[in-house]
Amino acid sequence: MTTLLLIVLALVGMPLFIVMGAAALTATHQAQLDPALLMVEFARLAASPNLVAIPLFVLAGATLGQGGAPQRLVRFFNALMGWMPAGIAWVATVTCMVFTAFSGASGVTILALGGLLYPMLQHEHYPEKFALGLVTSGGSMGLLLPPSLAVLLYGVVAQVNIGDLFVAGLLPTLLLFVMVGGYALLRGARGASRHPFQWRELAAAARAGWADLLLPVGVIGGLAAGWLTVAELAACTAIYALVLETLIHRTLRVKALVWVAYEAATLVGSLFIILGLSMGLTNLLIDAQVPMHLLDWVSTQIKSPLEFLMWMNIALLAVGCMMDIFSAIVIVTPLLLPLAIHFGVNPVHLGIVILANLEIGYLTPPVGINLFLASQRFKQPVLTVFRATFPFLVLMMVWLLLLTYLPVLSLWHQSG
Amino acid sequence: MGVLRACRWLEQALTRIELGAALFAFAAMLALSAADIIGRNLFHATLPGGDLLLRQLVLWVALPGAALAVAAQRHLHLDPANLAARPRWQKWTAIPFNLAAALVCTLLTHAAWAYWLDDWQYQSADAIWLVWLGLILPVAFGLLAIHFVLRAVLSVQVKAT
Repeated sequence: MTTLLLIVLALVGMPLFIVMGAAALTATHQAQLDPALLMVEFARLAASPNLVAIPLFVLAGATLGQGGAPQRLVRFFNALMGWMPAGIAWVATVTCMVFTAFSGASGVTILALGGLLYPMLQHEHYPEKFALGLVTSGGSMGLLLPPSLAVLLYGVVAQVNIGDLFVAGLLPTLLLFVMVGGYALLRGARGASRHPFQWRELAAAARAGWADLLLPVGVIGGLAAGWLTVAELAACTAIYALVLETLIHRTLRVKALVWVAYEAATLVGSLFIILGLSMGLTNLLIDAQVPMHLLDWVSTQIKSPLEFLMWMNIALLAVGCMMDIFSAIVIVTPLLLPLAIHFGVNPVHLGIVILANLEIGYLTPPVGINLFLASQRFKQPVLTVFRATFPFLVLMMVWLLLLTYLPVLSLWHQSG
Repeated sequence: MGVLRACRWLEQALTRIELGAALFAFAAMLALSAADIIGRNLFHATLPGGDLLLRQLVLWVALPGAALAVAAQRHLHLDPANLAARPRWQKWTAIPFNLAAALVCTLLTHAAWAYWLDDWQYQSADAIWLVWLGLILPVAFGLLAIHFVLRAVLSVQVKAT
């Protein structure tokens, strides 16, 4: 009865951390345990060295977003790729991907870049439906690229090497980029105008944006070479972003920095409070042997890893329809990980599949947050946005199937 | 109206303090990380306890941030039917929901305080500074409870207008 009430409260919009806190308090009461045990788990947030990276990467993303990095990136990629067939569509895809990787919460991409890219696509005579669909779905692509918050969170929750996860996400992201660009080439760019390539504009755009472009290169390089830990890399990224925007570009003043810290702290706070309470709740579930019972039940119903992956995808797409990505990672991963290990699925591959599913969840009703954000941003009805996004949703489903059943796409670096 | 004004003032004051704490924690995290990287690579030495302090600061960013998120009504929630967009739903649920949330936070504050007292009792003398930093846990849950109560009271004003 209590569980049902809590589920209803969650579904009618009660903050998720309150629902989790209430569930954890009820569970400790029923098990006649001291509720202080929940805080033992919560305090473990301060025990994970990788968690330090999350607030610092969020700070870096907020600094770059507020400081005008999206505009500089669009200008550079436009100069570099705008001359190609379907050039602006490639530009929109790559810019959204890079910015989503830094901004963490992909809704920010639609808000920050949408106003720039949507009119650009319309100006170049791309069909309105295609432009709307591309900008809306582009807001969730790039979630597998470093230093994505979602990847960091999965790494922390599943206790998987974060460097391995980031390297594993590179090829799937490239594949999605090619698929979306290919679709734009075949369908979206009919009637779209093309620009001649201009060295002068490319040089000017590179001069303005070189420092922003060095950032992802530095993060990937630093992780791959193993020079710095993830936390140190996050600190370097945040310091670099602050120096860039305050001293080099001079786009941020002290007052704006306070706003940046406010934005970053609010995002980190709303995320970590769920994470902290879910750690306590997960511990109680383990004590009550819930994952073991789930494993027993699933083992009797499902016989092969392929079957497991198929059912997992269906379940995750349903979760993605209802839940935002961060809550879903925290809640779903501890339940799925033992099952995946039982069926011989590599935790890195599992992470990429989970995140790809949840990335698609941004576009699926009823809680596809990007649909609502795009609806507000571009002043279009949600149904129109959904119709425009549908071809991209189908494309991403195909991408998900490829990632699920071709583990080599995620594990190529481990196969050697 | 005096109560509403006092509540608004209190919420603003708390928000300023929480933002100050988060700002200070962010700055300290950056300074400590930089000192750690430079010290390790140039002088083959790091600040004693620096790593422990850095990890504690995560709580000092996150928990005031969670309190700020209550004031800004930006906590993660599900709401698949998008009920939040309906003013009548907002009007009828604001007080009971915020008070229920305040009750949960009060119970969590109690749990956090019990945990902190235990920690205080059993921590060794050289690590007692860590226990002091851990005080953020009960304090922040208490602040969350206060914010939810303030939200409940201030929603009366929204109803009235």
